[in-house]
Amino acid sequence: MKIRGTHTLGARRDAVFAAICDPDALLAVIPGCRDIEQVGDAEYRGRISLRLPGVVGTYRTVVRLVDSDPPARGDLEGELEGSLGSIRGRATFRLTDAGEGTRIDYEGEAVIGGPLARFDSRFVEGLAGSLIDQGLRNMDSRLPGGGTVALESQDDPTTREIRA
Amino acid sequence: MASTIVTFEFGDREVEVMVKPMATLQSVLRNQLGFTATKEGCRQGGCGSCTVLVDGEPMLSCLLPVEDVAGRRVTTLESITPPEGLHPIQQAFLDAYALQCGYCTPGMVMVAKALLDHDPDPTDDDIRQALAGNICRCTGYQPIVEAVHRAAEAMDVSGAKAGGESAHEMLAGTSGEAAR
Amino acid sequence: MTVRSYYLPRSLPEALGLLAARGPELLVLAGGTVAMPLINEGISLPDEVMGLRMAGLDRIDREGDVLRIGATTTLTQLLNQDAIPVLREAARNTASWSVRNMATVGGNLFTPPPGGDVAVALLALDADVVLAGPAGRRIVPMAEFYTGFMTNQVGEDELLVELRVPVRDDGTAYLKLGRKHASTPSVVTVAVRVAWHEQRVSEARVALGAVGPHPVRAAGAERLLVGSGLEPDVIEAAAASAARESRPFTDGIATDWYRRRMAGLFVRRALERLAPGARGEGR
Repeated sequence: MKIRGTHTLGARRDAVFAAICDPDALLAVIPGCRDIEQVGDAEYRGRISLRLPGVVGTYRTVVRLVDSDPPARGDLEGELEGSLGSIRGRATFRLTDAGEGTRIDYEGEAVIGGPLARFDSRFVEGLAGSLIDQGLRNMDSRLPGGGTVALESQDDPTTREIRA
Repeated sequence: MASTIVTFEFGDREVEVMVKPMATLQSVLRNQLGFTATKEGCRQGGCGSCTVLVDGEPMLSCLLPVEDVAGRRVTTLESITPPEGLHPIQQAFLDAYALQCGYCTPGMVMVAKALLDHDPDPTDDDIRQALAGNICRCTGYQPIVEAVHRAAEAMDVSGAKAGGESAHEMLAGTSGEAAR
Repeated sequence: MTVRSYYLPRSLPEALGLLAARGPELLVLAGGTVAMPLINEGISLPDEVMGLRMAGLDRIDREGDVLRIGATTTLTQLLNQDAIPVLREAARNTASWSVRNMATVGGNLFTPPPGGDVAVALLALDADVVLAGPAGRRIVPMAEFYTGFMTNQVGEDELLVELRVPVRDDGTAYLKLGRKHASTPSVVTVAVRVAWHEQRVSEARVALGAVGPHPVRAAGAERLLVGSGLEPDVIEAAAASAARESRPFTDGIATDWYRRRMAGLFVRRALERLAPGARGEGR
């Protein structure tokens, strides 16, 4: 599956970048995140609780920041695994100044395995997009200056198209 | 996990079982009580081989936490088999060659029982509608439909066919329109 | 099975209290026909589960021109009501007799894609979804209920308790294409409703299932129908619009292109049933 999106956050670029690399901040903003800790120089492990109709479960996640150019860009690699299946992939995010705030562009691709793979990848992309949106909104509301700009998500996750 | 005691009616007695939370009625019947006529097929609600009656209505025991039938009446193939001989529906299935491997049969019989209890004189279509959730790989279904007709005849000793609600209304609503 | 506790509250306040106390990881089930297969397969691994079967949410009551359907009303109960025929059609086309005795109207809104087939009819009927939480009840129109793939408006501390469906005189038609006659997920499901005023369509709803992450309305098709007399060329255009507006997907049941084709075909067939002079006024 492939996902991409763009958001404008009210917080400043360096604060956003720092938050993305801060396990305590991620714990607070990732929807359903139960715990997360830094286990290496740029590696984080955690558990996320999923709650969909009829499905409850805990998903182990590992995320690595494999390359970065703070506060402008980061390349992530990660895995999410649990009873609904697995998602393994990579993503890149870019931060640019947007007035007092920050514009974040992200794109990534992943391979889905397990029961989740029986759904069309568009659905999983939409779900991933919604969770990312929610996480970014949560993050923005916690940061100084954040939440002051009306959040614009220029990419509606529910109508996300597959990009070949 | 805290076990609880669940009580339900089974045949002419009350059954009490100690269960872990959400043990399915299917696993309680088969594994705890040893009543293995109710089969385990898909555990997804798609095959119907686990069909039992709860208060006379067909339900899928693989999807029923046993706590949900507390105080209710559960009927399986074992409950309707007389101490000697066979229930007329069982006999009709034999006579009509309506089983080969026999795996779907208990589920089929339970649905047939519920159908005939509602409507002693169902049509072919009523029977097929009622049994639509029960899958058979052996017979091609036609002998099963015939068996239900035979059972209806055999059970109509008292000429009770005039009574009972219409199976058609019960299963199809009253619109009567084909959907496809 | 991983479940440590299974709660069966006897009332709505008790159910809401449990939800508040046990938190968002409490898995809520009604008929069990969606959740139990997932639990049986080990895909869903809840610690704590709450069943709503005994919480008193299973009444159907007619109040003037509104049918109030409790969330845990079974599909069999829906099949037996005669206030709204298209809901009978929808129930009849869902699953099988045994499953209908267990599955609930409210639960049908939470069925994963291809989605709940009763929900498609509720969308065409402009049903209101009643949610209850600690702050009280609120109403979400069916058209706003879904927010994405398996996501909806129900808050973490809320339960869906009722569907309120207007009882009207409008023409309705319902068609479902499946892989077999029963117990089949949908290839495409169509529910249409048309209101007439002086031989012109005054209001139209074209609801589609299995061509998107959740039931959707073909708004473009609806606009084409309003003001018309459901003439053949209007029906053709509306059907083509519905096919274009669909967001079909591929899964084990059907491919996306086939769903799109069938959406157009079955919208046309459904509308033809409602055209004046059609054999038997479709309801």
